Amino acid sequence: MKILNARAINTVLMIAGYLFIWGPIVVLGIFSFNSNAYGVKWESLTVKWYVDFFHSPAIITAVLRSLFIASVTTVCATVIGTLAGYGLYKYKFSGRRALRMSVLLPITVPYVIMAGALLVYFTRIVHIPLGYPAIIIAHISFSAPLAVFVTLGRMQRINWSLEEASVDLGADTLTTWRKITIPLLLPAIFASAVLIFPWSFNDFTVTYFVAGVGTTTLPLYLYSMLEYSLKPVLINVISLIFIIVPIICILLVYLVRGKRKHTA
Amino acid sequence: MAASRIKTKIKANLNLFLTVGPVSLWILLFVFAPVAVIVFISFLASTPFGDILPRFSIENYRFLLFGESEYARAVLRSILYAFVTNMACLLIGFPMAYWISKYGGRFKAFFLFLVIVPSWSCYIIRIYALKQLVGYPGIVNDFLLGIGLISSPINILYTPAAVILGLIYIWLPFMVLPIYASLEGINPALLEASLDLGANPRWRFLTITLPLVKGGIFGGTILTFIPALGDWLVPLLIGGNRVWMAGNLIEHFLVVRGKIAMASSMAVILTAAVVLLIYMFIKLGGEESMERIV
Amino acid sequence: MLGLRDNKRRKAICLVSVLIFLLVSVFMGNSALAAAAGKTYEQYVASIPDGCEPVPRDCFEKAVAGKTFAMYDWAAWWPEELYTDFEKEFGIKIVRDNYPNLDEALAKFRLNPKTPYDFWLTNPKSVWYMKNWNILEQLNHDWIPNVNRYMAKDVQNASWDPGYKYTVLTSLGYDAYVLNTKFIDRNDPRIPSWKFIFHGWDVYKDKLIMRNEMNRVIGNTLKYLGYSLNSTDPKELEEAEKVLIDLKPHIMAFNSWPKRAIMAGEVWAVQGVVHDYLSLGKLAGPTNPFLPSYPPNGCLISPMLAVIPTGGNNPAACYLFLNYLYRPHNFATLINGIAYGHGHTGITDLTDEEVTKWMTPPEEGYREKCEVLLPPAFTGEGEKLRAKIWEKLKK
Repeated sequence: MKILNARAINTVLMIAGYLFIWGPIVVLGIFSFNSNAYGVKWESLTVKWYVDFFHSPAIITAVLRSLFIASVTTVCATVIGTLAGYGLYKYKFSGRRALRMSVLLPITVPYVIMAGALLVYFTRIVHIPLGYPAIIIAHISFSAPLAVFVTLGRMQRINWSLEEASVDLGADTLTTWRKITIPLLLPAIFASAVLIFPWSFNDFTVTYFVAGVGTTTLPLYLYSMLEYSLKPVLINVISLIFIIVPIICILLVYLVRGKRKHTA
Repeated sequence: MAASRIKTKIKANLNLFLTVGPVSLWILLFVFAPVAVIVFISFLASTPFGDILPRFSIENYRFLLFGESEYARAVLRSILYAFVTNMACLLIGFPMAYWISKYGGRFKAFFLFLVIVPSWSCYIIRIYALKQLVGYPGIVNDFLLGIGLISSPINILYTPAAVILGLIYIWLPFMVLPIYASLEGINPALLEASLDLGANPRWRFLTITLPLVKGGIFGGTILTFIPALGDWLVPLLIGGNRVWMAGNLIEHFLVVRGKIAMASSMAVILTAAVVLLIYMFIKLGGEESMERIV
Repeated sequence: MLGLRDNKRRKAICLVSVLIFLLVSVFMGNSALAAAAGKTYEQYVASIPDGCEPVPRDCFEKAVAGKTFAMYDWAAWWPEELYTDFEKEFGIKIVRDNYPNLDEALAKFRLNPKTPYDFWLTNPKSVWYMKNWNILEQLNHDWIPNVNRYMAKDVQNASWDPGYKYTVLTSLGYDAYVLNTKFIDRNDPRIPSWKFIFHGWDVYKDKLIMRNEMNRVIGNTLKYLGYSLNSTDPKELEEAEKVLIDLKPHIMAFNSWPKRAIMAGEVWAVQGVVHDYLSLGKLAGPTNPFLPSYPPNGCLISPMLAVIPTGGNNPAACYLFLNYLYRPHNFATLINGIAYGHGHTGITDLTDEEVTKWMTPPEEGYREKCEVLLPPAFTGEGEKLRAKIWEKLKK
């Protein structure tokens, strides 16, 4: 009986949590079909905002740019971060603790100042062209730590005897990595990517300062038109699209993976 | 013999270099260096127009810490809000992570994904969504008025409560993830063994599960407390800009007033405060919790 | 085993195709769509509308040779046709970036003086800073004949740039306040004076939003008290501070563009630039419920000035654009679209009646009563005093 009660309470709390997280988004999505461009009074059903959205090249270009930057960042940061997490866990070297601490550094410094400093740094000290190179480099600096942490966490729960066995059996480093290590780390890699991609996609402050000409990303555009534009309902449209698309992608991934049982 | 020993040593060093090298290089070049720039600038004097003079001065720090500036108050306020946010995220996020881990079954990953997906839409959009929900006129207010629970609309928008609500809303998923990962890492054999030894579920939770999740809680705290501390968009958009957090002040000084050196000093102070808090936290949680962050 | 490899291959193919799709779309999206063949100089001169003059040949050829024109202005403000028609007529691709507000844009220039925009739409405060940093191009008046011809004489010698050496005025905004007459009686005796804002909270029931810029808010408070917007007198500023602190509990929020809030009925009175609310009002219902106010004491005027930063790669294109903008037909399109005041002498017949009514102050000589933000307000003592007041307000 006690167990059942605890489970019931837990379930209620869980549902409440999901409602909290999803409530505003669902409301936003519903109102993206509202013909009233402002406010919360429902007028009538329409899809004209979606038509508008696909007809505004500025928004679509901004979205594509954000996707591009986020993709490159995710790939690079995941690779760098996973490697580093692996090394931090496995190898004992002087400065290990220092490295672990300093990986936290990008997250602790306030974004605004970091962004300004990066701008000064990129233009006067290191001469990296503003725009895509600068944005991507900055994003990687901020998101690699995430991958490091996720990987570190995962490393502790892996049965490393598999790797040792592979080495004992004579496989070289590359093969061991390809066949054993990477598959073992796959959940961590996946989790890192899932965390890093939205971070990079949504970033505003840093991107704003180190952007070049013609590199307005979606958050930049949104912030610029949010309260100022005559059609804030386009925001509803964007939010719905960005909820539906990832869900579809994930469902696709599930399909592609087939009925293979998921071992966490 | 010696040759093969050297060979393994070189190989070990190479491995180290290849794995840890890139990140270290990156952090050195693109994090430490800009931070050094910030610290350097924070110790420079400035003209009345905010431009920097190449002269060493601790005037900025003196003004911020001991002068009549509002910064100390804003930092303390930010710490308070971040702390409340953190606790609330813990209270809401832990049951969610626990449920998914314990009862999620085959769809665990999917449930987890459902927690993350909203944070895939833009930060600004999510705050906007929250505004539409709790503002007046707003959905919640309309609903409560409609069913007669309240007689006049509750207006929490543009108040500190709204700011905290916004912060919780934005950073909640980052608490759920680490706790879930930590829960998943608990060896089920331990839990079974404790049951076999006669412990009841509550006792088992308190003595076995909770201590083992410490690392996850710590990780979640880091991922929610620190960003909440430096956040300036939430107070701007949902707090009506009536109440300033540390991030707003830094942005105000850097962007609006153009006082680069002063803004740098503020950032250094804030970062130092954060580092200090993390350090105290680690001491509290023990070194191993640092290892098991996620 | 086979199944594993099949799955992996499928996954890999999916991933690769998605990536390729992304990259292709990005590059396709970014490639020039202004493939319209550019004109020669002779064709350009021949096709110029009546009443307008062309730019000199060297300006035209430099601009076209530069191929792109980097603009930095507000998102979704000026009518899109102005940009697309320019691209079509000259075959020059416009690359537009937007800033969330002018302070942040200035911060970019402050930290990186070589920011490569050819055209920046900004305010006198930024112009003052840019001049100090020497990163503003001095205008070559031979290259903007339409501007010379149509810009009003008093604007040509305006306080923010006498002799228009660096700037070309595109629009003028009166920064006063707007009321939603659905909730507020437009016959309240205090309207349109500043008294309504600073003492009328019983009528607007604390549903007031003020601009989030300290110079504007404090400046307008000084105007209400009858002092100069740019005053540095500590006594006057103290008075202003008192008024604002008294008002603080009745202010709902500080937000520079509360369009959503006022449309949703969340706020009833907005302190801001009155011109933004005409087009908004048209959306709000059959009759425009918004009422602009022009307080008798005067208010803050904010001119939007086009400038050419020295970091740009194709300044000639900016001259070409300004000359094109000042053609009466195009300028009328602009003003009809944004409903702001202006200094163009050639479009009185071309502006909408409604727009004219909205953007024109009720009395002659009103503009002289209004003031522009000048250096004493945002530098030195003036700035320090105002910053203190603002911090107290935000406590």
